[in-house]
Formats: sequence, structure tokens, C-alpha cells
Amino acid sequence: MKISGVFVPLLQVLRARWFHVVIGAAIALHGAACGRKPTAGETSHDLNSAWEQYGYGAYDAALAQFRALAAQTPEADSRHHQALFGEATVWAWRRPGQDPARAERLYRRIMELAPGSDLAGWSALAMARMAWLVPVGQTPDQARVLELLRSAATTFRGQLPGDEALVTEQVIRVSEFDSAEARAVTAALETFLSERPGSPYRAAACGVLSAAARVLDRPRDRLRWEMAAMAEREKMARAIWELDRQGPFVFNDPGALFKIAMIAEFEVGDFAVARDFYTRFLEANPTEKRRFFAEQALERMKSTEDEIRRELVGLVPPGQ
Amino acid sequence: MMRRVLESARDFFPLIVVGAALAWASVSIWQHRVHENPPGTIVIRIGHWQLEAGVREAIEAVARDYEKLHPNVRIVQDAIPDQVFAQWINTQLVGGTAPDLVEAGGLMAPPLWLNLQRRYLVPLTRYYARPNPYNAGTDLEGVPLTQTLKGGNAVVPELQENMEISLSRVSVRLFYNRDLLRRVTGLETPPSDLGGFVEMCRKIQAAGVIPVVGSSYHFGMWNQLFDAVTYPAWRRGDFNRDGYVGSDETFAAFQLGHLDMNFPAYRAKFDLIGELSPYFQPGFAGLTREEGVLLFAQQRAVFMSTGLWEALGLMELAKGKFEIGVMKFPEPTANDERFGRYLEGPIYEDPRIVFGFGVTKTSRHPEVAIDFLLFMASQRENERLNRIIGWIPNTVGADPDPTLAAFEPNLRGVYPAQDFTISGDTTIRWKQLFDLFSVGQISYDDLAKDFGAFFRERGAVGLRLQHESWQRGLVQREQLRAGLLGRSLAADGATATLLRDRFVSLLPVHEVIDHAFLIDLAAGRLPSPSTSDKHSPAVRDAVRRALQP
Repeated sequence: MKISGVFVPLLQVLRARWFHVVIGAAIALHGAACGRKPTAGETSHDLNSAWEQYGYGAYDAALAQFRALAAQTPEADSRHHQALFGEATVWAWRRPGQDPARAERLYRRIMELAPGSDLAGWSALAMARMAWLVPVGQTPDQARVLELLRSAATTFRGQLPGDEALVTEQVIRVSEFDSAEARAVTAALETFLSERPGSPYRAAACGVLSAAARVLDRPRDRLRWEMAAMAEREKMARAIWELDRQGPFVFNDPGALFKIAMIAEFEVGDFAVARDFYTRFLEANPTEKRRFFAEQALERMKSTEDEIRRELVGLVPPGQ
Repeated sequence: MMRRVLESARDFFPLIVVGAALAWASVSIWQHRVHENPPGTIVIRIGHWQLEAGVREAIEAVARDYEKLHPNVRIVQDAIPDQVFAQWINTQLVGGTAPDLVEAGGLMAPPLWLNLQRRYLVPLTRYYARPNPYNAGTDLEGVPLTQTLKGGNAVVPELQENMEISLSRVSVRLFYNRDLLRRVTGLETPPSDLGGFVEMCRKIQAAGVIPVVGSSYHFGMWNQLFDAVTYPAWRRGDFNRDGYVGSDETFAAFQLGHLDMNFPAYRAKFDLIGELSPYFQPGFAGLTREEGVLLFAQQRAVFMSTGLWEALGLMELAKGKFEIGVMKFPEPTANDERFGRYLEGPIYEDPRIVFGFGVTKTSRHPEVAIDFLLFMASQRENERLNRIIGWIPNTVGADPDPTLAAFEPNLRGVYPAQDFTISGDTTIRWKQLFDLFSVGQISYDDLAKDFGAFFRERGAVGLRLQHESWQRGLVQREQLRAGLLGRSLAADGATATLLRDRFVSLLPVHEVIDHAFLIDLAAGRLPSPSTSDKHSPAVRDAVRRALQP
């Protein structure tokens, strides 16, 4: 056989358009083979998978899955509402590509389809938070934010979204550092604490009450609320720990222990509490950076107490 | 006919070359994979940027130990130079081809790493709550992993998860040429107090030898000493009573007149620099790390500040030429007239927790990757790993090489209370003036006048930028919260409660109020709270009442 008998048909094949397509496809397949294998979740349209994609920041994939689920489920089905909520969440928080108007339309649709439900409450809250956490460079319309939060807090009173709306409203109001606002915040949150004994937002509410007490120059209340906030956080952490012994271990938060000790020492003059919290801080966090600071504080308080004891027995005139 | 064939072949030559290269590459990759990964073998790749002496050998040794226990597993290292690691790991993670284990931090800005952690790493929280199985037979048997690590075991606040396990700690020390020191000064060991150290440097300089190597890289390490004397400034700038003075608090303190460049402890820092900098070689601020090391290697300088990560390399460099000694930075004594009153205690040395690893979500065998990570974090293997590298183990009870005793960081002491990094331009201006002062080109008064005015003028912009950056962080957190809420609503039972509680615990409360407070305070819209450590008359009255019988 002549060599040209092999090469000529071969070259014809090489020249053919279909061959180029085959080669292109082979290159693409080779590239794909070197890349990541799609996971099972990427082809599934269930909610968990969609939220997982959202968590990875794969917003387009999440959006496609939420939309597919919404299309597959009847409007009255709660999964339909959840799918709409997922889609709205993507439009609300994806960066770049945020579309607040579209998110708001979807949130409002959920509120129409399932009025009074928790999901409607979360939708109302999400609209308020979206109005509050505007992109950098823009100033939130404070009046509108407060109105949306108040509306959510009132409509969904006694439900978790209502709790968060109420607490967030008070966070914004107390940040004005105005006495009248701080008093109103205190009243609103004290009512909340009495009405919602099991709410997971109690720790946050106590924290805001501490800030209000600071504005009102009531150090004892501030200390009381900080301690209550820590107790609520620990209660929640313990409950989580009971449910899941493998969750994060978040007891004895050094920041909270230290803050309470400092307020007790410098603002209230309750050295017993200060000593207790500095000691707890040292015991729970022996290598923390502020260890020496806390040891200095214990010595400083002892020195002041010794001085006052000497005054009390008449050895030294007060103030010397 | 032959001519036609050749002409056609010429026309298609590029295509033939590309096709052949593709075929060759595919065969090579296939052969390599078969060799690396015989049927039934699990290959775990570990990616890091530690090209220092000993690191690859240490991982290799620990990997061989692991492979003996698990004959179906092979550990392969991807040691990538630090200059390109960030780009490399970024593309690998995004492309889904990252190693099973990646070194934490990725040598990139924390927000970028946080984003990658969130998308591409497996949360390790569950493993932190369980005992490390490889600690069986040691005093750590049955102890949850979190309690077996000395550091790096906190959850990532934004994710509320443990994402990495750290294997080592390092610290910074002064290395010295023991032979040269003896020859020039007659001393066997250098004085540990500042006064004695300065006196010794004077003698070394008089003998025509450089006392201390300086470079832009090495000089910064001395800040551990210089910054420690600023600790008293907390009594002027700790507005939120958390024990620290942040850059926003420093600015507010300047605005309110609590602090200025003449604050004695700030001035003391520069007096201290002025005391020591004449003993560095001239023009040191413009030199690179390599140039500094060269001076030390050529035995033209006695001292050089550097980290434990360079220890083995330096030892190797000095082998057969001179003996190396290691000491802590010299500190002023309590009765030092100029500096004693500002250094209120020993210096706290930040334990630099390093060599942490996370597990990638694209790992085909995440359980095996985590298992190998736990193996490296076990008491026995962590000791072995770090002894080979020459670093300090991060696992409780794992002893460092006895020669590293001098590197154990001191974890009880004073720390800096000066932070001018409120914005990019204040940071740059500060560095420029600091360098000019360090090499003696400007006086402290010039620095103070220039920077004090600049800081007050530009700090307001910095505070706004910092606030904007914080706002971006809030949006990022809201993205995460929304995801937790969505997953909680889609789940039921305990899982739903757990996810919901994590969602609630991430609600920003204190930081919103504290940010607004600092902004209003710096703008003079709020009365200035006390930051003093003196107990006020009201506090003393309360204590008096409590002490009265």
C-alpha cells in the first residue's frame, strides 16, 4: 500500500468540519475531566441543596434551584413559599447583583400567600433589614426602617420575627444616645422580657437594655443587664450544648466576663462582683492577652479597699 | 502525490502538534496518576507555603508514620512558594482542584480568606468537641480536641464554626553570634537589661563591628519591645472598657484631648528607639531581609532579631563557622530612670499560632484528610513534627526540642496601647515618619508635630472609611444569617433549633451601638466618659459602704 493511500484520506478527515468539532469537544471534555466533578446536590432541586448553594455563594445555582422548586409546587404549598423566600433572599443579599426591588416583590408575595405565618414574619423583617443594611455610600432612610421594623414587630408580636424586629428597632433607637429614646427603649424591652420568657432574643434585649442604662447614667442597671445578657447567652449555649454536644463550645466568653468586671469596678464600685468576674476571666482564659491587666485590677481593688479600711478605723483621714 | 501529502501536512501542522501534545499530556497525567494512586489507594494532598528548612521533611516523616497505620493512604505535599500561594490557592479552590488540606490564612487579607473558608472549607467544629483518637494512651485520651490545643481553637465568629486545626507556634527572639560577642566584648552571654545591653552595643560599635542587624524586615520585630511601653495609654483611650485601645479609640482620644503625641508613654517609645537605633547599621530601614541576613552570616554583626521560623536556616548557615545564641529582647528594669515607670510588667508575647490546616469541600476523602490532620495534631506526632521543623508544638503536653526553651512565649504581661492605623493614609504616613525617625533623619518633635496634625485631620476620614468597611462586614454577616435562617426553616427538630439559635446569636447588637458611640464621641456629640484607672469618689463611696460593718 502506498503511503499516500493512508495520508490522503487522513488529511481529508483532518480537514473536515465535523472533525474539528470532535477535537473541540475532546479538549472541552479533557478540561472538564481535570476540573471538579459536579456533586449530587448540584442536580437536585430540593431546598436544602439550594440553601447549600447559597451558603457557598453560588447564587445563580441557588436561584435556579429555588425557582425550579417554586415552579414544581402549588402556590398553597409551604415549600412554594420557602422557595420564594429563598429566591428573595438571594436577590436581597447577593453581592454583586443585588436587586432589592425584586426581593421586596417576592417577600410581599409570600406575605400575600401565607399571611400571619412565620415565613410572612421573616419576610417582613427581611424587608426592614434590607432597608437598614444599605450598600456602602448610601444612607438608610431611618424613618422608613423604623416604620418597617415597628410594623413587623406589631404584626408578628409573640413570634420570632416580631422579636427580632422589636430588638433591632431598639438597637437603632438607643444608638441615638438620647435620654428620652433610652427611656422608651427600656420600657419596650422590659415589656418584651416579661412577655417572652422563652425567646432566644432575650440576651440581645438585655444587651440593648445595658446600652440604654449607660445613656441614662444608671451604672447599677447597666451591670445588672450585662450580667443578665451573659446569663441568657449561657442558658442558650447550654440548651444548644444539650441538643448537640458536638457544637461550638462558647461558655465563659472572655469579652463578656471582662466587660462585666470593668463595669463593676469602675462604674458601680461593686468590687465583689468585679473580683468574681476578673477571677472567672483568669481561670477560664489563663493565656488571654489581658491576664496581666486583670491581675493588676485585682491588686488595684485590694489597694483601694485597704486604703478605705484604714480610713474606716481612723488611721488615715478620708481621701488621703 | 507525496508532495500533496507534505503540503497538506504543512497546512495542518499546528493542529497535529496541538493534538499530539494533548495526547502526550493526557497519557502522562494518566501514568502519573496511576503511579501516584494505584487502584484502591487514597491520595491526600496537603498544600502549604512553608519552604523553610525542615518543614517538608517533617510532614514527610509524619506522613510515612500515618501511611504505616493506613497502608491504603498516600500523603502528597504541594509546597508552593509564599509569593504565589494566595493566587494559587484561590484558583485551585475556585476551580475545584484544591488539595484536600490547605494551610490556613492563604497569605491573603482576612475578609478574602473568610469568604474562601465559607465557600470551600469543611467546618471542623464537630471534631473539636470529640477526643482526638490518636491521643489514645496519652494523658489526653478522652479529652475533647479543643482542650488539647494551646491556641487557634476559637470558632470563627462570622461563621460560628471551627474551620482549622493549628499545629505549631512560633515566637520572635534576638539571635547572636556567640563567638563574635566573646571576641569583641569578652562576654559569654549578653546582658538582659536594656541599660547593660546598650552599654555592650557601645563597646561592639567602638570595636568597628555592627552591634545589631537592621532591615525593614528585622527592625519591625523590635516593636514587641518598643510598643510595650505604650501600655499606660489604656488609661486615656479605653472608652469601651475592654482593656484595649483600638485605632478608633486612639483617634477619639486625640479628638477629646485625652491623648496627644506628647503623652509621656508615647514619647518614651521613641526615646527607647532613639536609645537603640544608633547601634543598627546606617541606612538599615532601606535594606531587605536578605541583605540583613547576609551581614549576620558574614559575621559583620553580632545580633539579629528574627523568628523561630528562620532558626534552622540560620543554624545551617552558621554551621562550622560560628555558634549561635538566642535571647529575649532586652527590657528596661523597674528602676531604669527613663523607661522603668512605663514598662509596668513583663512584655506579653503574642503566641503566633501557625501552620493551621483546613479541609476542602472538594476533597474526595474528607474523612481521611481530617483523620490525617488529627494525627498531626496528636500529642505524639505533633511533638515529632515540630521537633523536626524546629518550631513549638501547639498540642498540650507535646514538648518542644529542649534547645527551643528560650522561644517559649511569655503569656503574662503588658501589650501595646497605641494604634494609628485608622486608615490607609494614616498608616502610610505613620510608617514613613517612623522610618525617618528610626534612621535619625527627623527628631521626635518633628514627627509629633507632623503626625499629630495629620492624624487629627485625616482620622475623621479614616473613621468614616472604617465605618464603611464595618458596614460591608455587616452585610456579609447578614448573608450568612439569611442562609442559616433558610436552612433552619427547611429543617426540623433539633437541627432546626440549632440553626435558628446560631442565626439569632449572630444578630449584631453591641457592635452597632459601640460604633455609633465612637463616632458620636469623636465628633464631640457625647460627653467624654472616664477612662482612668483611679476609682472615682462615687466608686469609693460604694466600696466604703460595702466595707462598713
